Amino acid sequence: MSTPQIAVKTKHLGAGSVWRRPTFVQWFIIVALLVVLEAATRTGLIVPTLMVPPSEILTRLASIVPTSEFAEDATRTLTTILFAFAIGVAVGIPLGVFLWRIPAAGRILEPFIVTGYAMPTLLFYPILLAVMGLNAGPIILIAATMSLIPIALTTMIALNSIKPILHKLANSVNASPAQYYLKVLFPAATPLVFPGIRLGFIYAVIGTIAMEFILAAQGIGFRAGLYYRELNVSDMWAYIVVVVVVSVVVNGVLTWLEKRIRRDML
Amino acid sequence: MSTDVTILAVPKNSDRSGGKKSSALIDNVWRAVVLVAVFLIWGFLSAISDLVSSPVASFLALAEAFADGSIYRHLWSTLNAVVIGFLIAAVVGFPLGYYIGRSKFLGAVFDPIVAGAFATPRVIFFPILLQIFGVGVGAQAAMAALAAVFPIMVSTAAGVRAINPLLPKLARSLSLNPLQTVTKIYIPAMAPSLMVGIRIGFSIAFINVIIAEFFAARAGLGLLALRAYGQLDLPMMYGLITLLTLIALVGNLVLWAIEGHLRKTT
Repeated sequence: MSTPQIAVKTKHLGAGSVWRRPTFVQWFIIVALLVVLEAATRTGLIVPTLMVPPSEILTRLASIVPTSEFAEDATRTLTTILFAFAIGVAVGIPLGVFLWRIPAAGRILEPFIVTGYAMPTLLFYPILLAVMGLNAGPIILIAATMSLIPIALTTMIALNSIKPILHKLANSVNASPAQYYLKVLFPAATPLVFPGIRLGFIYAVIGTIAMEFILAAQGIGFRAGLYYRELNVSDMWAYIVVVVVVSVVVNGVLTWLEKRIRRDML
Repeated sequence: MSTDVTILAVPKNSDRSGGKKSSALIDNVWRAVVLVAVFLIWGFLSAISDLVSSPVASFLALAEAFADGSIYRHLWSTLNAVVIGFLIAAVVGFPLGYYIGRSKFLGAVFDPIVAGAFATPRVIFFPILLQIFGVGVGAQAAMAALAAVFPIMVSTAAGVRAINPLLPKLARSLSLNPLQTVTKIYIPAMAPSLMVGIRIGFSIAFINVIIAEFFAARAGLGLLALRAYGQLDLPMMYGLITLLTLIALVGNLVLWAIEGHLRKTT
């Protein structure tokens, strides 16, 4: 991993300094950014129509979060994300298994599935709206299609990279198909599939909030777009902060889980 | 010389994409069959539902828009935004990703920050970009840049880390200068993962430009689709969906083919 050159470089930074600790530097960057933004907004360097001081955003946030409106929006957004992710897993993993079981199908369909990343599925929203009605359904479906692509692709790649000896082992102990999937493939593939699951969840979050932002009439993403149109900069920023915090926390939890799973399984 | 260097950098996952010429041809024939099947299903759906216009009507609507020249302004605007935004993301993302990947310390500091930013739905910042750049191509391009820069950074950093540690040693033993080290050693060795970054960056830039155009734009295919919805012009709507899907598919197939080619040759 690290070349000798890098080892030499880090030595120069001085032993025991806090500046060598990544967590310290990370927090320093975040706090420094907040201080700079606070100063820039207070002095008028950043105009108030663009951004209000971070401290003001926080006080707005404190008064928004306890309201029932926020609770409704948050519940709506979270259930949408969870449903989309559940569909993504329920469809993505079998699809990945199918693409692995029939390698020709995997080879032929891979470019189409990869294109799914760039597919503007949101264009189907009006049609889905007409079919499913004005509820969370269309957004769940669109976010689910975004979520299932990384899940299916990593499942296929993970199953393909399982050591051949495991298949032979399963054969030699006369494992039933159920045993083969549950006791051999599932544990062997899990550490490799999990990054795809993580990406799938992140895409479900992004898909849901992005769709709410431009299309929906409820949800956290919708509020940010609404307050922009109402020129209510402080409330818009409060909801942007909510979105950023939710995404960063979700990503943090999933990264932590990924590390744990990898340690347990490998 | 260059062949010696590149042999060292053969990625481990090249076994799947490799194949004989004839089987590649058969795969492409099957891919064409899949496309035809999609159009047949579309035709079938249009026969049984009022919400789906027939493929022929959609293509005619699209052809008419091309014939009277009304679509070019929008097509140009969208492609402009995607290309400018992607180029900005590449110019910023590749060097930053490179440094993050090279240094263990910078990696420890910035990996979580970049991953957190990757997990955040960046469309939510579009209102702020609108305030800065005004409604127009500038805001759309900035959106594309903001969306594409993080995946490019992530895959560049991953590519640097996956470089065979022998290669930097080789560079030193040949006493190459830093510029030569980057252009002759690092870039060829990283080519496949750089292509992954380019492909995902393109996809994300494209989809974000469309989403941004839905929110607010002066021109663009997303805006055009939104207008078609407003007028319930179903053939135009499906024509645009097809056009956008084709742009995504062709863009992806080209990048995917280059990627496969690099995997095989490097």
